[in-house]
Amino acid sequence: MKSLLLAVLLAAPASAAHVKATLFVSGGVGALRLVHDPHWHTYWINPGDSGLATKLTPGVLEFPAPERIVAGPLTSFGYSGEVVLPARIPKDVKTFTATWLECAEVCVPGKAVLTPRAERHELVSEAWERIPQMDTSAALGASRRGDRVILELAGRHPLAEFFPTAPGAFEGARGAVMVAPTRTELTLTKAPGAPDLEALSGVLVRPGLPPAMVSVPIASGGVAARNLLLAFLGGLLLNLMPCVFPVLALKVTGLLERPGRGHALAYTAGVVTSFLALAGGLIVARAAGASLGWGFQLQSPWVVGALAALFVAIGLNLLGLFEVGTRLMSLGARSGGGSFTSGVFAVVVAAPCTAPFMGAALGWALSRPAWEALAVFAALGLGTAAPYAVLASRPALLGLLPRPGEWMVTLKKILSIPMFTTALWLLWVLWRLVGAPAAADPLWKVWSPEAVQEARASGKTVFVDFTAAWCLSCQVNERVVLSRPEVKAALAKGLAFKADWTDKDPVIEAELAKHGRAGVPLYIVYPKGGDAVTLPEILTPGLVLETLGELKK
Amino acid sequence: MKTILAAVLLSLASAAHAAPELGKPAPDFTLSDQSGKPVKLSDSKGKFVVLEWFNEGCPFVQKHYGTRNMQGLQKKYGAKGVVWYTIVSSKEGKQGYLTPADASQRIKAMSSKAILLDGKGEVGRLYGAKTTPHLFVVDKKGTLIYMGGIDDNPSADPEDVKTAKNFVAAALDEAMAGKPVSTPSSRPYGCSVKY
Repeated sequence: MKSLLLAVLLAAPASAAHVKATLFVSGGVGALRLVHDPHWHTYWINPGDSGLATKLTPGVLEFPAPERIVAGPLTSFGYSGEVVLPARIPKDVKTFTATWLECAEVCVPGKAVLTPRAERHELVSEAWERIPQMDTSAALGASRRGDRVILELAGRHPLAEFFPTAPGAFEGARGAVMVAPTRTELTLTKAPGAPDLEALSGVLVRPGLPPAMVSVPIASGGVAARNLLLAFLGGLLLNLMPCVFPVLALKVTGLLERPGRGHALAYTAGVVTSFLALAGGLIVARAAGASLGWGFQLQSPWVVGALAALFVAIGLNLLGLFEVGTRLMSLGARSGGGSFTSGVFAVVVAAPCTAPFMGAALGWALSRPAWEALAVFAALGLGTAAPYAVLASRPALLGLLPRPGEWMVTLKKILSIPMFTTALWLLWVLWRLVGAPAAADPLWKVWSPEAVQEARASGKTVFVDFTAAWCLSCQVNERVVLSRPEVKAALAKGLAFKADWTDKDPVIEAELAKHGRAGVPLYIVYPKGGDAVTLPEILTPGLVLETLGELKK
Repeated sequence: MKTILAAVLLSLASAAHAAPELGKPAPDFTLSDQSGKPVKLSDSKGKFVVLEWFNEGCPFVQKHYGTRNMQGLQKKYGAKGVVWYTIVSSKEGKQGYLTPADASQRIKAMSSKAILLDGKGEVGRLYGAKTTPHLFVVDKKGTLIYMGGIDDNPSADPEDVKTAKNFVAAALDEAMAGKPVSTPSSRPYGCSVKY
């Protein structure tokens, strides 16, 4: 029986007859032509997830831009049909050996002993002209984000593909593509166990442009620092939002009456701790399999109802109608512990506001490793607490504000307006949550993974809008950009789907996670026969129209 | 409070390691062997384990079996107490797929402890197995200490076996001597796993 296996394992491989090799020579240089049978392919210098690069001995082969060859979860880089590989060959050598691996569903090593033919001179010279040339302006840079490397390209290239030269450094599968008005981001995922490279080199393929060699250093850490800075700035901005500004204003007027430096630290600690507790709790719930993203706080009718009631109460309180909220908010004026509590309170009112404005960014943070997500939320908290903390710890600055007086009562009355507006908005979200459907537009089909798959299989360009009633940037994009007649006309040429995440939905949540998100908005275009292209969170009509147009080319 | 904190840390740790990672616990699995007996990776705790992805129709696998290089490693390290599992992740109908009956024939010419049948490709995907062969080494504590190719010469030529540096043998020798593994990962080479 042993002989049975050995017979199988030692059997001469099926004859390598699926690829025909010819070596041409012209003016001192050569070119190896490989002609593949249908469905068979050979490999690029970096074969990708599996395979082996073609070799010529003696000699050195150059390689034109490859194509992606996808087999289930694995992706290789190589050639099908006819390919001509330029060859540097020594003079006065009569015979050369070409070796390659040819694969269809199965793989067979191929080998040919070749005598160079001095014919087809144009084939040789054209092959040499097709070698990708170095282009120093194509890439703006590359940066590391955990186990991913982001290659940033100048210009908008939704169909761009990048093939890294280093074998085994990255996964072969095409990573996420994100287009912005003037640049494109391509994502590469590091192969497990592969070392971190210091530079990224490879071939960039953009439709309509010749393939280019790109080589850029990979910046580390800079992006993480940038994210923290952005989160801090986001926190600062949060203070100006209608739900938070009145609380901050009240706290500051409290300071005017009873100044004290001790409040700064306690208030900051309250804000940061609350954000960390929220993020930490959410990370744990997600790790335990709960289908939650940033926006979860507005996906329960009970929470939305309670928040609406809270904002009405604060509004009434600001009008001077009753006194419950003030006590809660001005506790901080008396003790450090109270300032901590009002920091917590600030986050309670701010959290719903982060979902409409910063849902996508914070959702992205949640999909990162835990420490990174927590760092982002801590920076957000520091930013949120900063204005008050600075005022409290620098009494001199308080001197710049008017003296306490009658104006404060007027200010409170004015501040009640954003509170009531927020409450109204929450009531609208509640109304949508308890089942009132959005006005139906026949252009927008209801999203499901199956429907998208079917639409893509039918060869149409597919646009998907991941949205939610409580997401303000989603609403703005839909009203200002996606409902324009010219945009609707462009979308109608393909198929448009809307995935409404107003309510919890594990299927939408899973799809968001596939794109590295845990929040909305998310806009995805699937070009005809191509992979997903992500659009930025703030759309412009030009960007949508041009991306759809570019993808049609 | 402490238990909550521990739960938080634990869930963070488990969430972060979906893919196999060097120096981290090797993902556990249970597969049927050639005789239909369930085999669980974590039952081998206390022993070194080698996981070898196999497809008998792949020329790269044939390179290492035809030269008896693979059987030699299985035998040598099996004698030292290493548990060697040969895993087949080929889908039914694709190259290299083995029925339990096929596998009980093939095992006779091998020196691995068992052939594990992963026709659904679940364990292959869990480990991110890309090629045949693709090798993983797990130490006595269940920690992943090597993943990648069998050696440093990605070719299909059997002649190259003699001159190549075998990463799996090196990893096992070093780890058994209590030394850190000098090459803990390399690029796996071979045919794609036929998922």
